[in-house]
Order: sequence, then structure tokens, then C-alpha cells
Amino acid sequence: MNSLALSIDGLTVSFGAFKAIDNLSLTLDYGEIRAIIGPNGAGKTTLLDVITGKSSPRTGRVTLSGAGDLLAKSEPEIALSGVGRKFQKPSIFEALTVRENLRLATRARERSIFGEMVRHLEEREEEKIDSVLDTIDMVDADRRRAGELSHGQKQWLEIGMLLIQEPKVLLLDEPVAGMSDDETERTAALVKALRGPERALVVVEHDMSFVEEIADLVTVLHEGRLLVQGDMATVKSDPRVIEVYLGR
Amino acid sequence: MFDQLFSPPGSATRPAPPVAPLALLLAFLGLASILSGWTGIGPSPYFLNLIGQVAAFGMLAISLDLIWGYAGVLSLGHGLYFAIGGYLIAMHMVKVSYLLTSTPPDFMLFMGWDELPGYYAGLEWFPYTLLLIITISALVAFIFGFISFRSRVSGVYFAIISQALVYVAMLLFFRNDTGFGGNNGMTGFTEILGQPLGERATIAGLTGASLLAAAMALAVASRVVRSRYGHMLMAIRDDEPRLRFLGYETLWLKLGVWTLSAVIAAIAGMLYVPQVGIVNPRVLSPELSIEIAVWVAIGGRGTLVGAFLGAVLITTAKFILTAIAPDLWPFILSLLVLVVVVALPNGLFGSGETLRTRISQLATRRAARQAEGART
Ligand SMILES: Nc1ncnc2c1ncn2[C@@H]1O[C@H](COP(=O)(O)OP(=O)(O)O)[C@@H](O)[C@H]1O
Ligand SMILES: [Mg+2]
Repeated sequence: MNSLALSIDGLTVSFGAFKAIDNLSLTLDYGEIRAIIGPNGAGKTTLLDVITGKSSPRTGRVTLSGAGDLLAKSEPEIALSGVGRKFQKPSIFEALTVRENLRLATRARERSIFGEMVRHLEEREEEKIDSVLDTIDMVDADRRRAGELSHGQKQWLEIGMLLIQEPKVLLLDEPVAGMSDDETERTAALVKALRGPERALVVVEHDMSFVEEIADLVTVLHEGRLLVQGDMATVKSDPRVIEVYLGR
Repeated sequence: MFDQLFSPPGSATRPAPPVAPLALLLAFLGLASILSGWTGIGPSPYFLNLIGQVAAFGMLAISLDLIWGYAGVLSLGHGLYFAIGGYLIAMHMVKVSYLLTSTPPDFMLFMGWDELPGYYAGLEWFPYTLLLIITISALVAFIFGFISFRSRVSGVYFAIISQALVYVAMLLFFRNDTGFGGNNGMTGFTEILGQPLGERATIAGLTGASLLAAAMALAVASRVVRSRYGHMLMAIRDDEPRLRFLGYETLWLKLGVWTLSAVIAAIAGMLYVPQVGIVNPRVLSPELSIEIAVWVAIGGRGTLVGAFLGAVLITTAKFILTAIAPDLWPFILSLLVLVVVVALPNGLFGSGETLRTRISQLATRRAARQAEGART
């Protein structure tokens, strides 16, 4: 059995009277790639918001192994404890070059503004950037301005920025939305290459063939609750899943 | 429509103009001006004084570009910090002449005060005045910035609040019982650092100091924006949440540059007031604060050089045009703003498309439209 990376207990998130997440519990293990699927409005993005500190729940607990209770921490603190998140729409720093984006992601410990003014990365850190560039297959785009990249490249760059930080839990919100078939395939290969014994990967996605290709375990959310969980074959043949997807 | 105000300056196909040549030129002119004061050779005091005033405005533009052009924080209230520097140096000069003549200035006699209020204590010392200018502007900026940035006020809302703050300050300074001269402000200064203000050597010295200070401001700002910290600021402008989720507490990063910007603006105000010989609540009017943003927008956000040159261009044009046709100035300014917004979103010296490519772009688009029209 793998060891526990993240556990969510009895989580409820409400916006007014509406419960976007309703008493949800789930756990993530190191080494796994988990897909979270569900119709629009199921609460997938909201779940990521809570884990990363963007929204606070009404009740429940979110615990990261080795870092304790995440709900007590601010967004930057959660990021520094090892949770990386890719946003649904590509979020990168357009005015900076690809390498400069990755340099900003290089963040070992808290430094003062004056410290940052004079800081240059060490050789070891630049080498790590090189290896990440290689992983996301963007070695040649090194000096390009991030704003000029294609949609797919922006998504990969954002994933690359997270990889620099060596997150324990990596959350990807719809990484292949808007990608061409070719780009989707390359992203699937990239995601699979990111699997590691010290990392849990979570992919929120709509694209079923993509999910089928990458995921070990699929969690289906519906109206903020866990509907079904299992491998893709089980999930696909589950009548409840078919019902929420094919609709009333 | 407002998005454009905060988005990064266009897709850069051309690098921003380098800062070093301008900084060196300003430093050279500054030294030349001081030399001209000593030797008595060179331009008329009137002309020297104009250059000095323009340099102070250029420095003010640099301070705004630092936060707006790089960190994406638009302040429409930077006159506040300019005024802090201006009023404190005026108080210094008032205190000095009070000690020489032992009569308080007219605005205090008018109030029936026969000595200066307690908070003028120590202001006869210039180093103490300078220290106050730096600490008060930094403190006011820090408190205002902390409250706003911590509550995640940004964009248009921040711009509006910053303007409200300068407006409140203006109302306060209009009052006669505050000891700051009320409506009429403070004037009638006689000397600075022991030098009579009317003399050419003093005028040249002040101009030189303003040019040197502007050069310094350019050098400091450019050092900041090219550092790793500068990249963080641009990252805040482009996508602040992304930076937070990479583990940076952006509150402190923003507060740092915001405070630096306020101090630069205050020093510009300190240099400006002795040169015009008056300070009154009009430096706190929303118009001045908006005008600063106009200089930066016209020159080009996020370039420093563009911001400085924008201020030089517009204030020079204003000096000339308000002398010839004072009523026309507001219209000309509005027209310029429109031209920049429509035709040159990155400003005259901004990165991105050059003026020429932009004009040819507009021309081709027009031609295409006409061709379209001809077909239908
Ligand atoms: N800030 C918010 N305020 C109000 N309702 C919200 C907010 N964020 C999300 N919701 C609602 O919560 C539900 C879940 O949204 P979300 O988590 O984005 O779904 P998805 O599974 O498609 O990512 C939706 O009905 C959405 O309208
Ligand atoms: Mg979503």
C-alpha cells in the first residue's frame, strides 16, 4: 500500500445557501495519478480552491502529510508546504521570458526584498531549470516571451513552473482544455512522466479518453458529493455515472 | 475598457529604450547647471528654472511608472506624496525666515498667531526636514498601501481610493487653522540652505540638484526593475494569483515598491517647491494626480525613460501653451490622451509597436475597410 499524501475530511463549502461541496471526504496517495471528473458545476474547481487556500470551507479538514492542517495557512504558505496548482486558464507571466518564468518559480526560502534585489540563481538552480525545460519539451523556447507562446506551450510552461517547486501534491485543473489532439497526446505523456513515489497527481478533466489514458483511479463528483470512485472501466459502466453524464 | 489600463504594455517586438544614456545625460546636465551657477556663464535664470521644474516633474513620472508600469498598480493620487515633500520643504523655509526676522508668515499673523505652532520645531535643520520628508511619505504610503493591498483592493478600485485620499488631503489643507497656509498656501520664501532664492547661482543650483536627483531616481528605478525583485513586480502585474500560488506573499512585494515610489515622489516635491516659490493645496487636486498618469501613459508605461520624457514633453507644452492660449490647454491635453489611447496604447516611447508600424497598421486596416466597402 502507498502512503497517504493528502486527506480531506467532511468538507462542506457553501456560497450562501448553496453547497458547492457537500460533506466530501477523500484521500490521495503518493505515487498515484488521480482523475477527478464530474459534470460542470460539480465542485471540482471549488475543491482545488479549498486545498490551495483560495476559498475557505464551512466545515471539514484538509491535511497534507508532513505539513499538517492546510486550512490554517495562507495561499503562499500552502504553496511552500508542497501543493502546486495549475489553473484552469493558462496563468503565466506574459511579459517575462520562459526562463524568467521558471526562475521566479525557483523559490527555496523566504528572502527579503533587498535579498531578492541582488539575488542570482545558483548554477544548480539553473541546471534544474534546464532539466525542467527538457521535461516540458521547451528547450528551444527558453528565451521567448511567454506571452507569445501557443496555448499548449503556455499550459506546459505553467506545469514546468510547478515542477521546479517539486510539489508533493500537484493539482492540474483541466490541463488539456482547448488543446489540439497532438497537444493533448503530448500532455498525456508529460503527465505520466510526472508520476513519482513522492508525488500525488490530481487531474481535473472533461476529456474522457485523456482521463482513461492517464488515471489510476477516477473520482466522480456530482453536486458537490462523491458519486463513485474506482478505475476507469468500473466508473464508465456505473449506471449512476451514465445518468449524471447523459442527463435526465 | 479599463482592462487596458492595467494590462502589460503590449506585445513587445521592440525592447524598451535603455535607461543609462538618459540617466547619464541628466547627470551631465545637472553638473553643467551647477557649474553654470558658479561661473555665471550660460542660460538665463528663467530658462534654468524651467528646466529644474520639468526635471522635478520627470522624477514624479518615474515614481508613478515604477508602480503602474511595472507592478500594475495605478495611483491617481500621487500628488499626495509630492505634496508631502513640497509642504515640508516649505515649512523648513518658513521656519528659517521666522528665525531670521522673528515674524511669523502672513498667513499665521492673519490667524492671530504670533509664533509658529509646535510641529515646526526642528524644521530649521535641513537634514531633519529631509528625514521627515522620507519617513512621513513612506509611512503614509505604507499605511494606505497595507490597508488596501491586504484587503486585495486593486485595479480601478485602488485608483479611485487613491484619488479619494488625495482629495481628502486637499480639503484638509484648504482649512486655514492647520498651520499650513490654507487656501493660499505658503509663499514668500527667501532662502534655502543659506542661499538667497532669487539669485541665479541658487536657481542654477536647484536646477542642478533636480537633474541629478532625476538621474538618481532613474538609476535606482532601473536597478529595481531589472532585478529579480523587478521580475516579481511584473509577475504581479501580469498574474498576481499565480505568483501567490507559487509561494510569494505579494502584499510585501507590492508594499515595498509602493513605498519606494512614494518617497521618490516626495523628493520630487521637495525639489519643486523652492523653484516655484509657492506651495498650495492645488498640488493635492485630483487634476495634478491625473496629469501624472497622463505623462506616463503618453510617454509609455513600463519604460521609465518614456515616463520621464512624457513628463518633459507635456509639461513643456503646457508652459508654452498656457502662455499663448490658456483656455485651450485642457482640450489639447484631452486630445493627446485620446490619440495615445486609440493609436498608441504603449505610449510614444513604449515597447511594442513603433509609431511608424502603428500608423501603417492603421492605414492598412483603413484600406481594407474601404476595399470591403467598395465590394458591397
Ligand atoms: N465564488 C463563488 N460564488 C458563488 N458560487 C460559486 C462560486 N464559485 C463556484 N460557485 C458555484 O459552485 C458550483 C461549483 O463550481 P465549480 O467548482 O467551478 O465547478 P466545476 O466542477 O465545473 O469546476 C457551481 O455551481 C458554481 O456556480
Ligand atoms: Mg472548473
